[in-house]
Amino acid sequence: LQKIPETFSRNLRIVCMMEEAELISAINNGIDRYGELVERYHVGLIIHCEQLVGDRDEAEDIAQEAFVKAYLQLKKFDPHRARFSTWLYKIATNLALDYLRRNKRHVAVDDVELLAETSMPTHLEDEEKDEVQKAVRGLDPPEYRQVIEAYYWNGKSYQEIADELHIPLNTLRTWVRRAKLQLREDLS
Amino acid sequence: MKVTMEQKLIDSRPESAVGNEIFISRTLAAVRGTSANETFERVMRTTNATKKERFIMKVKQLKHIPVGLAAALVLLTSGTAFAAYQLWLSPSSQVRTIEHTAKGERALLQLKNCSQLGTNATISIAPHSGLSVAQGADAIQAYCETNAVQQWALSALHVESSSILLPYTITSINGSTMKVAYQGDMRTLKLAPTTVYVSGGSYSSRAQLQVGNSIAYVSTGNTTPVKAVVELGLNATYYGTAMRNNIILHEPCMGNPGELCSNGGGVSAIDLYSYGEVGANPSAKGDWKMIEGTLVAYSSTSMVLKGSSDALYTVNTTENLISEFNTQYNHTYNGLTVAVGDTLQVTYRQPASMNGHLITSGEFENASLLVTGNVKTDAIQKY
Repeated sequence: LQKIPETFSRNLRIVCMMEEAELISAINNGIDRYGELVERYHVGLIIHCEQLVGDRDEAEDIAQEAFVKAYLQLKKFDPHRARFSTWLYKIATNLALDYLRRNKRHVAVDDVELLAETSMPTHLEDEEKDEVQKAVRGLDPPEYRQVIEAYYWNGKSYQEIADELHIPLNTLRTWVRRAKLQLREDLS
Repeated sequence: MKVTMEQKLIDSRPESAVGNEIFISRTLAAVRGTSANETFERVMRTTNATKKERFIMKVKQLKHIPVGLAAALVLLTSGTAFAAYQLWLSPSSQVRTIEHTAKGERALLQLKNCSQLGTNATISIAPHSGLSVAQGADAIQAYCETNAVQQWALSALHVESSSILLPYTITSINGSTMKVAYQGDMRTLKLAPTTVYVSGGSYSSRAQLQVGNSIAYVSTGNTTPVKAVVELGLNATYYGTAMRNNIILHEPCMGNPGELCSNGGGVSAIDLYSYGEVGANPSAKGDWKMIEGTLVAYSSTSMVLKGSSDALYTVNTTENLISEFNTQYNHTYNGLTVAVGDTLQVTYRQPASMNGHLITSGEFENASLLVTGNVKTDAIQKY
């Protein structure tokens, strides 16, 4: 196991008060804070990649590659013209398309790009985020909350969650689907 | 473009969420070990080596109990005088009536102190499970108690739901350690003066715990003392997912309160058709509704379902779902095929005021075949 670097673990739980542009500028000036960006976006990016390639392990590899590529090109990125997350997701989408082509899958680029659009990062107002968090906390039965938190917030795979809860994958999928229906109702 | 539920969930991720720390650690190691002239292929090769170890090398972020709360808990639990404060009322579940149906016995239960299910619940037992209705009633009582324990721990101890672990049976208590086990999962728990003990929904003491008691415990890390030990009212097996995976709850369908829809671990649903996890039928509008029924007839673009009230529902679709599933997609389910007599659940959207028995293709969202699954083998059978 790679030990989590001390500087990163110290920063992990600190709420980032810096604007993203300042953070990126700090990283470009050699300050070791890239972990904050990885921490902030990794869960969504892995899910985004998983939706494109349909395989969790490959998705994690592609997401990692996207983070590495973004880091190496960070000096070229202008945070005043686009959000880092949008840029990062586009890198990952291109890597996912390359992966699908390399593996000789029949890829309709338009379909993948359309799918990619539906899972691109969005930017909700704080009030709306609070409403979503409240709706998740109110999911009933509590197992629905547990699986939603585990997958969408804690970055666990379906297989890991099913193993931890000792339930079949199909049951887990059903719970996630029903939880999302309940959330749609609660938030509509 | 409309924001999907998945996008909302991801963007609403709390800053306190733990995240996939193995991924973060691995990615940062790759970032730091990668200079501009190294190829990404090398990075990819190094990551695959660690992947197989994922399950055994979890890094748990330890969260510490707030000092104020810890002090309060010490005051509550130290010495022999602790407050006889009722944290929750003990739930109970009794069988009122039993009905014999084509799919086995269906029981109406009377519940007390079950905030999740109310005062009544209709259940049936998964076929071939070997469980009795009385055991099913106990499993529902355990479910209600589990919810009470979780609600209390989440609000009083400010932990995440993944920190609440159950069920376990105490196998020994020595000094500051307690050994517990459940179905081969043996754990040694560290106890501390700050550990809270709860029994029957009230604060208790460590002295009241005995070998053989079934418990839940609250822990935020393997190396820190447990925050709370909660004695449960029934044998540990009633709290396990294995038991609950054999119970089917029949609840009023969403948007169709006159019909019953199956829920709970005893049933799973195989999608015959769905507009997908991320999207929805773009033409469907109105409230989300659900209907469950026995398939009594179908054609290329239509299905007729008979609900629990014996009412018939016609569901129109744009594609021949059943034929497509039976010929193209059923291979992943051991060749399972959909036929008349099977139980289907259909999700659709209609204005709240509409209560029609015709669901048009513009309103249709999803259809699933209900199945029961054996947890050990994951073998599935039609419900």
